[in-house]
Amino acid sequence: MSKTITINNVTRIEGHAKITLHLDDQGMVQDAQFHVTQFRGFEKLCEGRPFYEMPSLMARICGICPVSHLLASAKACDDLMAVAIPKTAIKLRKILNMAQIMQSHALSFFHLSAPDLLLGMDGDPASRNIFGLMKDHAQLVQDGIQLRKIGQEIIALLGGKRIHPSWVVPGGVNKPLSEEHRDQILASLGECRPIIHRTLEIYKSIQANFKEEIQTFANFPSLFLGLVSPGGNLEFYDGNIRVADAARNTIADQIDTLDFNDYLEESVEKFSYLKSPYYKAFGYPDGIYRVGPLARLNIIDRCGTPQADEEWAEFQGLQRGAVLSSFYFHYARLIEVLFCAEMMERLLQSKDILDPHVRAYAKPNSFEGIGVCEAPRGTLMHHYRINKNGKIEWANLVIATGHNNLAMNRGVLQTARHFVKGEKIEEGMLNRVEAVIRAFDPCLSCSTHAVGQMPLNIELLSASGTLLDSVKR
Amino acid sequence: MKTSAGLIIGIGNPLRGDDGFGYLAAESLAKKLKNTPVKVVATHQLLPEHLDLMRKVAWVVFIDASAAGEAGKLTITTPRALFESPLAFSHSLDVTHMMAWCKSLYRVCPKTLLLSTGIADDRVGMPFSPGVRRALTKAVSLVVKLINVGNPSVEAYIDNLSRD
Amino acid sequence: MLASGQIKTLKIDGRDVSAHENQTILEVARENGIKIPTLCFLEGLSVRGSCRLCLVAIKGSPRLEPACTTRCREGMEVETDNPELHQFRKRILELIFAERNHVCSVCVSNGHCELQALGAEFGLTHVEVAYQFPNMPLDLSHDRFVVDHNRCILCARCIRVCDEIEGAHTWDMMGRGKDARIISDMNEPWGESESCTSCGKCVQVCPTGALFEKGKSVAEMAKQRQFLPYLTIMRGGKR
Repeated sequence: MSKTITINNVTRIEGHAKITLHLDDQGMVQDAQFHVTQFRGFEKLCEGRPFYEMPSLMARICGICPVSHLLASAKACDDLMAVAIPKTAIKLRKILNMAQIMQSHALSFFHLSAPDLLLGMDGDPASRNIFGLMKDHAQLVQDGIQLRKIGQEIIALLGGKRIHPSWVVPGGVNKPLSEEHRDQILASLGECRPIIHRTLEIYKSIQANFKEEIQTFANFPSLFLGLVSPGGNLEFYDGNIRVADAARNTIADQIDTLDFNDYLEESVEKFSYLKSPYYKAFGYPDGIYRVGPLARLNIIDRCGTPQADEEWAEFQGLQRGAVLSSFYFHYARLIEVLFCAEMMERLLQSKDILDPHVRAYAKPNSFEGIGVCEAPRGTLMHHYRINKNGKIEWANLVIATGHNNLAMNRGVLQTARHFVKGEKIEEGMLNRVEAVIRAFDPCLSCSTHAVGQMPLNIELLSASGTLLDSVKR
Repeated sequence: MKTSAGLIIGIGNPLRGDDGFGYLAAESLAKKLKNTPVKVVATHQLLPEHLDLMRKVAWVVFIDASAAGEAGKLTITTPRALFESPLAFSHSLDVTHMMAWCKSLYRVCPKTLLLSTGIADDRVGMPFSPGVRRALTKAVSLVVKLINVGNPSVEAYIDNLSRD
Repeated sequence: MLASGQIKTLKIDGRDVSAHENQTILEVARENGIKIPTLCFLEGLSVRGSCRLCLVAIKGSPRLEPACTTRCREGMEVETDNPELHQFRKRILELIFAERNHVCSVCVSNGHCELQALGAEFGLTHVEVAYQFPNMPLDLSHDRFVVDHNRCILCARCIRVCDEIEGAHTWDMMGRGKDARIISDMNEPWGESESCTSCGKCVQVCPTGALFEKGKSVAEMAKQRQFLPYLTIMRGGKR
């Protein structure tokens, strides 16, 4: 008799989703689906607004990474104005973006995933969370709190507030950096280096405990997509898109962000509100690609800062060709945080960082504009069309989590096939199915709207819909 | 002004009627305690980052609405650290967990007071109910008195209360 | 304003004050440092008495009177604030907020808005009447300025400054009740107006973010109004 297992809600991710596992007569996993159960509709509500309102409007998509939307939107607006924004403004925006990546990665690693990593996938769910973590790993939890605080503080110092800063505007930023704030930020960046190195050591010491997970956590050949600098360095704000294959061969490079859409196609699955884009030239399903920390570290030629490059060399050695297991998203996140700390320091020490010229003014000169940047979770694109007066007529957002949709689905299936067996639900197997999603650190609020909060409820249903087993947390 | 470094954290969402109790109390206290060594935080929810403030002070007062209890009745308690897990969903923390976190992580925990009231209505867009408004005034004046009079000190006050 | 004719004596909030003939309660109150909240009133423009925020109680009068249009009378006893007046004013603000789509967090005038400031002053944490959510258009056709009807409170400051100070009379009001809307010329796009001189005075006197300079981002639209009293004097006080 075939059965269905539903994991609802998936815990320790940003947003609301459920997972359905379909079992065959032998109790083996036949199919798996990752459903995004929230729906929002930001693209509709901005129609008719002036384009320069967009950054602040779009930042409201998400309280976790408002900065990413702010930046992608501001870049799309720069594009509508067809201006080159002041160099200092670019640097300041880059720093803001990296502070955001730092705090978001810290949240993902320390708060959401560290319980699985340090307490084990099969640990008692009652204590397999950050609360249980601090009993044996107090230093690590302290470090997580500290690192996230530093990221948040940098955002607050630059943008004026922590959550929805209105500092980033079309044409640049609306206030130059003060010497006092620069020194404050530099001081806190100094604090976070030892934290990052400590955490990398801990991560590497436990990596060997997860051989089975590394083998099966969305570990398959796929394409990887992200921004790189013109020289092939790790880049979160500027640059152009590169696509690489599983052997790390670059198959498309320096794609002008304006042509982005020509390279991708979207399929819509009826079980999810999340769109599923794939790489057009390779078709579906061969065109499945991944974005985010793992993808970024797979497509670049180097990071571009000394310490991050050392770590990156080690990361590259994990597998011949591209690093394929999504388990390594965690490692990639830590390397990126290290890069951010180094790069922010470098930018803050540049001579013109306090330059008062940080904003360009222009009317709309182009009726279509695209802004792309790297959000913590991957490539984020805002695409707007306006009328001659600057009124938004159409908007489309391609969100990082959306890019990963197909890969997450395939990952869930792979993990479930390996770990879920038989009729009885075991906590450890289901936690692994959730953990593979967590490795991608999806932000579902961004990609779709959450109303209410459902308890985690896993049900095993027979084909006729009768309840065979259920687990409640 | 006789008080050691302290912290006041008011929790709530002022857009949800009575739930705004703690938040609005903290906003009001922030104005009244401007020139004191007391740090006042108004927040929608407790965050792990608040631990970094907690570990540096001798006492902390939390002000929060409670789903249980009589609406508008101000309750003053000295909560104890709770070392159990706050369920699977770690988005919301409460005072007892914060205390446990602080103890486990930093080996210290300030003396803790909790001012709370039951609520009548916390639906989005509802106004404050009269009882909770009175409880808010009471809570604010109690804290101001504790800090300004300084005798007993906030720590001694908490100690006395926890003995009862 | 120089004295011509009689001096009146009256009481405002229990204080004895004196007024020249033709002075309004609002003028005398402000001369004496007594605060009465206003929204449609703006020093230098004719009075309109439309927002009703400045309603005051006058002893012996069966109804409340707007302080901005009511002239002082001998022996008058005026009360500018009491719990009932406070409640009325608060309700007026609520109605204004509910009538159109005021979203402070993404508004150009966030932090510089008279409506928002009054809301904060009156502790308006909630709106108890139902929001109307009307579907209101924006007019972005003007080269330098924008009108966002979502944020318009129909105070008619723009209409008055354009007529009385600039002398262009580009702005006027069309429709009644919830359908009332400010219009440029004969309800043509602002950018196509032949009477508009693009002087921008309407933008500067607008109390909210309904009229603003193109390209301004959230919270960037601080308005400059110092020009108004000087212009009024220079133009011989046409009111």
